[in-house]
Amino acid sequence: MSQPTALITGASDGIGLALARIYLARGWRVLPLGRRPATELEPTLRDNYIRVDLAQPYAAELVAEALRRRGVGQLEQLIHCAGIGAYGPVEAQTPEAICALLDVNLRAPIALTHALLPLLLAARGRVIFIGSVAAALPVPDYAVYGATKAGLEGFARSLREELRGQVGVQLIHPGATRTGMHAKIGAPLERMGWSRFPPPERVAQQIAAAIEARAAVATIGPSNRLLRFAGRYLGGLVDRAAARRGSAA
Amino acid sequence: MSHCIITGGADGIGRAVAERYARAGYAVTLVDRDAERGAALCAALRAQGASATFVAADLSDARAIAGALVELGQLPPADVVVHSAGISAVGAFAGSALAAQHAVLDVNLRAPLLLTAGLLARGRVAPGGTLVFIASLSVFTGYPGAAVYAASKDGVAAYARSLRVALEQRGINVLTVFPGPTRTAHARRYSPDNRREGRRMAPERLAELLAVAVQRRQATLIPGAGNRLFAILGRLCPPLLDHAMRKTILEKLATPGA
Repeated sequence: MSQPTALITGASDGIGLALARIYLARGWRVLPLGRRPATELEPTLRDNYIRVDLAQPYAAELVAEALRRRGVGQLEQLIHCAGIGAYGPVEAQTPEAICALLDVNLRAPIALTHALLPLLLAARGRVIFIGSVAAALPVPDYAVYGATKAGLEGFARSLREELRGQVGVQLIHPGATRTGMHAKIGAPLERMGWSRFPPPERVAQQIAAAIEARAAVATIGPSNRLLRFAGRYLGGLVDRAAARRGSAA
Repeated sequence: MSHCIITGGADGIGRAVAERYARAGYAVTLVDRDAERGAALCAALRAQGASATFVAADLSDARAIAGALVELGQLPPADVVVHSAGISAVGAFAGSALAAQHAVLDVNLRAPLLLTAGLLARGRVAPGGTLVFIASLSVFTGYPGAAVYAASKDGVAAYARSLRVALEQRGINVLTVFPGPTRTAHARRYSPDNRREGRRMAPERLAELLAVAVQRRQATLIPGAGNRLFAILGRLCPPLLDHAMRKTILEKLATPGA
């Protein structure tokens, strides 16, 4: 069998970078996508690297064109890992910040899936969205972020039915991970217990396993599974607990 | 006098909500892209003795929203804000025009997020007020044939849930409504089959249930017993509903002329 190809967004840092390394080690051809200059990447990832800012309106077309130029005719996996965060009260968020979150976390994965579907169909491949446990929980300090991840869930759930038997659609929800995102957005690292979060390498291993298991929806880690279950099925109780936590803080 | 702001207020559910609150003695402000229809409805409401203001804005455009917020900033704080403006784009995602899909995200999700942040930042939500978000029954089921619409509605519902917790301290309530099929031009436009339109819920009925839920300071409203059953089944047995939605919507949409 020829070498399978995976395109991984958000691959210059965090969970995406860790996933890219795992796929390389397994012998995949990895097309890493990120915002950082290629020179900041390790040599093994540099050759196929595609530098693009997914907040740009034509990012998906640019990526599709880059793949055409490189002669990539099919894609076994498209993994949407790129994401940005935002922390703080809703009214303190500027329109620009709200738009950027929606663009990178929701609009870009939708546009990129649209642009690359022919390649996925050619390989009878799979598209994998990285959501968040926050999608199923009330997250007052991350309201827009949570909305973007929930949006991915609504999209994935519907698209899975549309593409059944042609392209697989998976949605994987990690919980809080020890990445650079939290510091970047000014979240209170100490109060959150950031240093106790699992490292991106471990989370990426678990994500890779969930992808391999072909789970339609998977949540990473037992405590996150419990949180998601509570968020989905014990609605009001969870909301009241979140409100109490908020007022105590 | 109490004040109610309704986006998408010129037609459909928004129009019914505007009429409901105008009858109850609220000053109503309609935000809509359809200036002609909006102005006509305002005139009709005024003729009935209500106070009505029209703000023309295309909610798919972030700059137009910024402009609308300037206008809304001049008005008294709102006791009720109903984010009712919504569009869809139906058909298989693979063959769809991406621009139309983006517009769905912009109107259904980005607009309520921008308007909410802007109204709160300007102190335009009255203490004790209620923000109402119109999600969809699709949040409980999925919506093959309108995957981006489903994305927008899941997003809105999650946002509203977080917002409710965030604003509780300030005494502002957040209500999320999950309507099923409603007898509006929106449904007629996007449904594969309108022969049994009479079974859809009348927008006036939905507006009444919405107003009662606002009054009771509810967190959620699934209007109608049939819709509630649908929602419960969707939560408990997703594959069943996914299959049903695929059969009733996607496959009919895929048939030319259906």
